[in-house]
Amino acid sequence: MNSQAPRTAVAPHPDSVVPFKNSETVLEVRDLAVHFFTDYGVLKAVDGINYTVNPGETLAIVGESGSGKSVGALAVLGLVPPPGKILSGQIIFQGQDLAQASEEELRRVRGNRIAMIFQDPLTSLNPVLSIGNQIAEVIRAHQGASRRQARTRAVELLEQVEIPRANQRFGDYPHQFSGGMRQRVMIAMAIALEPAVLIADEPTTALDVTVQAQILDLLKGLQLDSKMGLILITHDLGVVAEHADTVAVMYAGKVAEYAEVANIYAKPYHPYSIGLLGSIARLDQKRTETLQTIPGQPPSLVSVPSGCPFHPRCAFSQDVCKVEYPELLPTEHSLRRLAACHFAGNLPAPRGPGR
Amino acid sequence: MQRIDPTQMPVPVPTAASEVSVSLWGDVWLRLKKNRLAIIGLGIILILVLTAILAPLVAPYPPDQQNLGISKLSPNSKHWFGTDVLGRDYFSRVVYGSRISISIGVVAVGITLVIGLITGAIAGYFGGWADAIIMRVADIFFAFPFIVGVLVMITVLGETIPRLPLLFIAIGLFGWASAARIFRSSILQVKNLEYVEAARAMGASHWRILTRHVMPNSLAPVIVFATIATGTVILTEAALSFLGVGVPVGTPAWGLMVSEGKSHMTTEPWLVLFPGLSIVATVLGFILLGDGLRDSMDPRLR
Repeated sequence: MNSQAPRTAVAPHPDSVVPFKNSETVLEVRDLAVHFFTDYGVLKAVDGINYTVNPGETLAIVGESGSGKSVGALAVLGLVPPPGKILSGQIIFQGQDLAQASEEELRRVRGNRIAMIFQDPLTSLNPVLSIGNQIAEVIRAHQGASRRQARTRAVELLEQVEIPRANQRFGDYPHQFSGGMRQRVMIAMAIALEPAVLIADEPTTALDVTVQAQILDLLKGLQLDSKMGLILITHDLGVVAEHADTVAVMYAGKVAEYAEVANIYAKPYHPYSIGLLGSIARLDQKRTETLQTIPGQPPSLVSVPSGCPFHPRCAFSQDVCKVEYPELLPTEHSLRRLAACHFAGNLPAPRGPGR
Repeated sequence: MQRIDPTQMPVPVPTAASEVSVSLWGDVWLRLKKNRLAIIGLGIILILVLTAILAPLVAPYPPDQQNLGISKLSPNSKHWFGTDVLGRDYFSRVVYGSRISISIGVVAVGITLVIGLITGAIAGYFGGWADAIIMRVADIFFAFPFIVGVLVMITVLGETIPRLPLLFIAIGLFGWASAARIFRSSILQVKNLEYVEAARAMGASHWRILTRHVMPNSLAPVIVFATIATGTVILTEAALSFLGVGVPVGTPAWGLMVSEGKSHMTTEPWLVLFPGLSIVATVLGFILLGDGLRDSMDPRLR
């Protein structure tokens, strides 16, 4: 039965009503588009995304490789590598639009008010500088502190991220630390200037599972102390369930679903979120059951499918999905529950075998 | 029963060499130490440098003291390397010759490095038109045969600039293109590494990224180049002096001594042998050390 009608068009929300925005919101990304002008054509890495970061909260950005989740975060810091360009949109951080900011203004924000930690701690530290000096350097660069002040603060930070014998280890070099310890050093560097927002780009992907948990707990503890907003970029839905407050699911450079964590896990609206959650291995699953998969491949961002970018892989797709892009709109009349699907909350019967 | 207070427990003191806080250069030295040829090279260079610095103490006679009565003596206990046509002590002259060679090596390679590092860093880090212009100029210098370029420069400017500084400048100027190329390609590799991106994300300025993160990590190939180039430059000076366009006649310089001794080679072979051996040993020393440095700095072994 394919008789369900698409959701009735709702007028786009007025500018003043932004999802998850409150009086304290520190960072607001609105209709951000970042395109790469490559030899093969325009690659739409990020194509009109919206999200909001509030103090003390964690926003998880989830998606497959190449869904634009990292590029969107790099754009916040003005670090989109060429041939990429911020095409349109606003990045409003504490009242300032970073999309319009000069390089010098951005430089003063980076590391200072918005910090970032990277995926691979093994390659994110400079091998010829001692870890203490690398931390101290960030402090000196932004605050003009004296060498001794910076050193004292760096040792404090190393203690804060629970590096044993911090004072003795100040002069050690990155290769003398394990992966988890290096990520702690990266975190110490990132929180050195008490940023309002911390972007963590897959901070635990390169670490083993026990260390992952330690690092995430550390981040959570720091966040409680400082009311820092955290953007957690990941593809690990287990991490999201445990550590995030809100989730933006990205697909092909767009936000497919944006909601509070508990809600999205309880009842995903977008067929892509349904597929993602369905493909997690669970302990209570019978061993004979095979894991569910989402058929097909993520699209090339140079030639994104027409209409809803997910329609070629979607078991529920209808004719309208091929021609019209479904805007990210509130469902359940709630600004805390958004999905970009014509049939959000009202999915037609799946077609085709196996689903 | 005695209770153990964990804060009073002795902290294990790391003993193994790998546990001791070693910098990257410390690591390089550890590996270099195991390379016998490189250490021989380093030894030759150290002896040479010490000889050059302490020449007045090492040489038994002043290098210019003539005594026509003892012309062309063969090596003996008083004159270890014999004497030359003008009766000057040949050992003393060879000792003083090291000063010319070392100063040429240090100053000319220094000039090469200063120009090469600055241009290479700008070209590699900033890219774009700066890269295009710098590397095309470097190509022009490359297209010029090294020895011919230096010869032309010395012939043209020989009257206006004293010979030794002119040699420094000429050799330095015609060597920078190699240094620039090597440094540029090394910087191109390093500048896209994640820790450079991380430094940028921490708000580091271009200057700080370049001087603290990119350049120190790009230096290894340049150090190897500089070591080998020092040997080459010493050889070039010797060749120029041999050809008569190097240091002024009468200066104790190895190339010049070989040139002056060549007409007596059949009768007084030591006049060519000792300065010749000095050149060979020196150049070999730098090449052996350079080779060893390259091996111990190779990131694949790290």
